[in-house]
Amino acid sequence: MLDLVIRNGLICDGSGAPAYRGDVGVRDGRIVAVGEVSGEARETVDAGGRVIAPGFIDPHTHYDAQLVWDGLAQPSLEHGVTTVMPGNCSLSLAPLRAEHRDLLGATFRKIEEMPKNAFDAGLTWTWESFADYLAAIRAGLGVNVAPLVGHSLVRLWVMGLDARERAATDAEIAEMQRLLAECLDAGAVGMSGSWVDIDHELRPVPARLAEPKELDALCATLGEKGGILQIVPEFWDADLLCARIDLLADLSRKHKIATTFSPLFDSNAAPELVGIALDRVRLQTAHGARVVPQMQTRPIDLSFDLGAPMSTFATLPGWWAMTLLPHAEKLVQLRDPERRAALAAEMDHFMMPIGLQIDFADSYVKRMGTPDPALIGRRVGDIAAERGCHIAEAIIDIALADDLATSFGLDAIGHNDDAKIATMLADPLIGIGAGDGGAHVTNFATYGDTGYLFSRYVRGFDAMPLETAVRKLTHDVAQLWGLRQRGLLRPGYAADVVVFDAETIDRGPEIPVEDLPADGFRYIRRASGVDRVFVNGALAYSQDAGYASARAGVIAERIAA
Amino acid sequence: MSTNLAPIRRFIQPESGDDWPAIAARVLPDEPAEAAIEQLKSWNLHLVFRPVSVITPSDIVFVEPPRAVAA
Repeated sequence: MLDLVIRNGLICDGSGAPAYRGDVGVRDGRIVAVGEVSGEARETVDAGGRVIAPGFIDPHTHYDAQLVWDGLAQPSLEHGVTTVMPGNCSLSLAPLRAEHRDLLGATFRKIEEMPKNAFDAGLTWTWESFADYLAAIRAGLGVNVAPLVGHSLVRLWVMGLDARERAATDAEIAEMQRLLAECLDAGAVGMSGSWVDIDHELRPVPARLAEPKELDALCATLGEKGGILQIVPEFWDADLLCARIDLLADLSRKHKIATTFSPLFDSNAAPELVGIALDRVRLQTAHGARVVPQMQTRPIDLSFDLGAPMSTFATLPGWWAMTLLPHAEKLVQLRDPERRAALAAEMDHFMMPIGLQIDFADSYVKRMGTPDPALIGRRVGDIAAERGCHIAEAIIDIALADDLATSFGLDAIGHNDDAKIATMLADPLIGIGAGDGGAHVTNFATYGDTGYLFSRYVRGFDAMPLETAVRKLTHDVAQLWGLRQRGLLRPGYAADVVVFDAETIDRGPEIPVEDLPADGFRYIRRASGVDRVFVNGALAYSQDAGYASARAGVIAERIAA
Repeated sequence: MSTNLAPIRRFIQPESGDDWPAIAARVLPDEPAEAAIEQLKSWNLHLVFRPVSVITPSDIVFVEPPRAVAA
């Protein structure tokens, strides 16, 4: 007898092959039959009028911390995501010695923009090794996790605080290789790096202090074990990005590894960039390299407030320094006429560090501690004009009147040319990722890229068939990342299955919730059109009943070299 | 750099401890020191305009100006 049969659905099996009517049978967490499935089952689900697809795989998340207190990776699971990859951008939470927790925590929170209260309240550090971190999250997993180990963490473990200061010796590089191999044996699917990130003190993250021979040696270990390299390049500059693509291509060919970089995004600040970068990827692919850009489906949104340091202010040193001050001192400074004038002058010369063209006048009052109906939703430039003041002063005064609790939004400031995005999404060289789940939680909602792909680009712009969209979210990711028996509806594969309505699947509006530890606030998006999500054969989410109690997630197995 | 493919724009990666004078002396040895440094900086504004001005061994340092964009 089967444990589960899902009947009468439109089967998109993840391969991209034409969809067809059929059933999916499941036993012991595995798919045992696809097509016309006979026999009895303990549970039968009628998927009439719905799509049956492999669970979606999100290759770019920062759920490292959230998985400690929320093994469901909410709300990604309700969007149909059954496997997440944390540990991107050189930052995981292991391996990490106890004495480096404060340092790494501050770095992680700055780069991934997580509130300190939630981070501190939610994390009970019971691990140092990578294996022990996986043990700490394993029991509570409702989703599958295919973790990366961060290069910065590997350096910090081997070199201590010197990892922030200098290149490694040959002996230290050898020890890093041993440690990386240990992490891969424990369950990591690869290593992540960064060529751009800066920590809470605006210093390069440890991974950036690595000489090329160090990265080369670690990639040799990835090649021996069969792991992937993910890295963040200077994605806003075509020349720099092409240089990085070349470096990744060399590493890929030399060590026979897959590499992926994220994000690739389109911006009016550099409209030619995507075409140039893709030409380079195409050329390197033709020469035997595996260099896969990841892109997000949604436009770029940003938020900022004056209560905490945010990346938006990274190229405004005066503003950055101000946000680091204690609350009371910050209030004094923001009321000081000389300081206000200096901040205003600095804003006039603002240059966004990531190639976006933004104007603070176009920001709007997104959220307030004490909502003022006269301000919520209004454009800051209009408020400043009414008050006859500088944009900076309007921002400061609105925030001061709200005890610095006001959040300002900048929506769709890049990656929002639908025709270009549709073309990019359909390109077989480009993977879908860069979702950033679990990060930037107080800035904007990163969730629902999957639903947005279907609503905006399959239904709205007809950029690709349904089957291709499913393939790009499932089999393509599993294949690139070397996940064993995931990403397809095939006998023997893990029963990660999503049942959804192709006509209504979507992401909902961005909403504020207080579901982080210590009543921490974040923005999320709810899903629509996702009927049921099964993880390893167990119901994990249904539209009618919400999240289920099953915790059937596992550490997803990597295909060894 | 790639073995078989010419780069879009020639670059090097710094050696550990490199600063502008050291890189300039290595890649533009025939130029006067100050002029070489200024030339190099003008090709690498991504390194000049950083929140904290450091050069790391993983950086890209271009050793020629940007190519002209086709009309």
